[in-house]
Amino acid sequence: MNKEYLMIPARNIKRRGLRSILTMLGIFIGIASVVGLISLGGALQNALEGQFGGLDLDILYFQNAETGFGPPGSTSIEKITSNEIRIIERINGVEIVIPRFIRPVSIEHNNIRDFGYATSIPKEREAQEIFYSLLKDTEKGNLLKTSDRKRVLLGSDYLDQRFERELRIGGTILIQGEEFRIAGILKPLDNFILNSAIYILEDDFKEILNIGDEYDILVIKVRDKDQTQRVAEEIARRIRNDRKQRVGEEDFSIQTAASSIEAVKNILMVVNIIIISIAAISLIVGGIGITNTMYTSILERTKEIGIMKAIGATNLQIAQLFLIESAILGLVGGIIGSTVGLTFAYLISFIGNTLLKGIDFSITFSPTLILGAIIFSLTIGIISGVVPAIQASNLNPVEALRK
Amino acid sequence: MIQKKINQYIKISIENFKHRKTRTIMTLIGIIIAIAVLFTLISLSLGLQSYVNEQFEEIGSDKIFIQARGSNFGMAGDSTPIKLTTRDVDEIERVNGISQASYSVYGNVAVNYNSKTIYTMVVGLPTENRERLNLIIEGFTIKIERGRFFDLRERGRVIVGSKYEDVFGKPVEINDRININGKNFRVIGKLEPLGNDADDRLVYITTRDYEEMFDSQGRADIIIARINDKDNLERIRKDLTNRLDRLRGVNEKTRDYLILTPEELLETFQNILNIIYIFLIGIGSISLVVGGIGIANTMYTSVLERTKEIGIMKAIGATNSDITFIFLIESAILGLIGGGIGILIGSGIAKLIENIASQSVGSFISAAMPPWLIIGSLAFSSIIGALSGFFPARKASKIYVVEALRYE
Repeated sequence: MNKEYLMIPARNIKRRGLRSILTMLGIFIGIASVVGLISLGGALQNALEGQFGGLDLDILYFQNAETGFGPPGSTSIEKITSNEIRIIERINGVEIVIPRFIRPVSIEHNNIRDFGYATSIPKEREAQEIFYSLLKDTEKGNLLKTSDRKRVLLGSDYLDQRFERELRIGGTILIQGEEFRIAGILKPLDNFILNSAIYILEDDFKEILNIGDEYDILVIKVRDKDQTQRVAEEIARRIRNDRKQRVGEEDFSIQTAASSIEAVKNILMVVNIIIISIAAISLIVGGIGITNTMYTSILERTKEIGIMKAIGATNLQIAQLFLIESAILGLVGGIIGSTVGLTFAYLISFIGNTLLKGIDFSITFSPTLILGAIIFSLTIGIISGVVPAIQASNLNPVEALRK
Repeated sequence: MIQKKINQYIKISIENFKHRKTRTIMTLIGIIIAIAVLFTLISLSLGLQSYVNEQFEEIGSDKIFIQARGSNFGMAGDSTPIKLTTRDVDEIERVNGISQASYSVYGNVAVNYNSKTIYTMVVGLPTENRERLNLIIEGFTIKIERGRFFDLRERGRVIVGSKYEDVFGKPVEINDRININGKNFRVIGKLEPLGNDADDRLVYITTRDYEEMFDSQGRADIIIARINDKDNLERIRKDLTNRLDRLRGVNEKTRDYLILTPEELLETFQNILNIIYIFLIGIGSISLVVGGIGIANTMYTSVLERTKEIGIMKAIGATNSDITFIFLIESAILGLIGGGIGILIGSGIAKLIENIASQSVGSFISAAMPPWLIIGSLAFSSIIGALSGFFPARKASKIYVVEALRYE
């Protein structure tokens, strides 16, 4: 293509100075907000996935049907029994079954009462190791051993001054009114639920909360992650037989880590789409701005178009000139807009990471997003320019020259 | 005199719009879209706000709620770390200024009917005396649609929420038997919808049946108290706190219960809603900024095109402020007309969303359009127009007569 095709539109854009800048500003604001919001939406999703402690493909969650007004498993009607745990343990491909409890408890120290979640630590060594691999290491003191009695491990949130004085390793706190000795306090993790919980051994847990032979939720580790689906089906079949239930009438559910956050992810996605659509409306307004500018441009250059036609320019050539001009407006607006939008998103994520300890609110740089945004903006520029360009190409040279 | 001048300004502006029809229409569309979006968002926000306010008004400002601390982790009564009891209810009734106290209990249940099972929560309502039953019904704002509430000391009866029209494949009717956690109950009443799915799925039994089912002798998960002297709320709260602290053996730092007034609940709720509104409206405003830039752009073009005209006007005696006003009024009119049409379209969209929402999620999404919102939006869009026109207008007023007349 002839270089002139770029030179003429570029010169026109430059000549209109302030007005070109305003036109691009319209597109640039829209692109910046859309890019910024999409990036932050991604960061939100990262933060969410962090809260679920990584998506291990070889982990299944077994849980009875529940009303969902409390922590997982705690509101189910039928509890899981140790007999059922044995049934699942015997299934081929199951590496280990870790029973879990998560219950709200009252915590008292220095005559100040607080409330939080208590989580049980499994007693079997292997299960305990898997559990501890999630908690990493202690900031102070030690992890609990199966032989420990009435000892507690605290999440990193307890490093604060909520009891108006620092908690000492070896000191005591009251959990549900029972005295426990503090064995250790964990290092801060990327998960605010783990950070805010307190951890006690399964037997102590059952004792202070008066829990019999029942469990809230089972975490099942599968030997081979390709077999996860098959093992899940087998567990469902055996438990169904044991509870004498028909297919489709189960009062339990088996979820993979991925499927358990699917619902939350879906809600997040709907919210993101609504917000981004509202922001994207400004792109339409910006596009109309480009169309408007192009119309003006034609009016102002009627004579010029007449002359070009008089010396032999074809309709197509005229249309191309105007289309390229509007495309440049969209392109430049898109490039600046996505840069600013991304910068803005990084700024917010930086602030977020600083303020919200324990949540990984980071942006994943996505070349696809940036490229997509620039192409999108370019397309808006071209579409906005189509009608004006056709109008310009259809000008009658004789009349145009008379203007 | 001023009136006449303004009329003249408006006439010039309209004349100018007619000359540049396409451009005027394009500029207007930008503002129309932006105002329509904002109007829709604000209208729906206000609708939700007034729904929330109505809900709290229905509870009545003469009631306070007492709840165990830590129970905000989940509503289920039997899993909360701290339990309140009917002894606390009785003690609260002794507080000077409190005329009546009542309570309810919650539990997770499996409800079976028509060979289908759903999992939900059961609410236990006290039936030991009429006053307690009435107070809790009033505090929960539940109303009977068909059938009746419990009689005193009645057993084995259940009242179901409005969702039981469809959850079991066939509607639950009065006198039907439904099974709750393995025990049969006869349906004596169906409630009017409360507006949200979870609440409308609740089932209600008497506290006696509840205690038998959950072995929860004397537990009270939520306590409601009616105060007969609203002006002395602080004194009543203090007296109540003293009595409960003594009874429960706690002090300021180990206190294991919370006292909430509807006003406080409303405030917490509104704070959350406000953050959401501000965020959404902030994003919606981006379009308006872009639309405003569109006006500014059109006005700059207009100033350039009319340089000669401005020169002539100045030559025959127009002052700088005359010129400024002509352009400011022109851009304000753009804003005003765009706003007017935007409001019409926005109110249409808001009504549409209200209709769709009432069929799919519930009646709590409604479009509110108070007169002040309409007038405010018109004024706002005119101001946006005028602001966008400010710099172009100033530029126009500073044009030199001699140079302007020479301008091609």
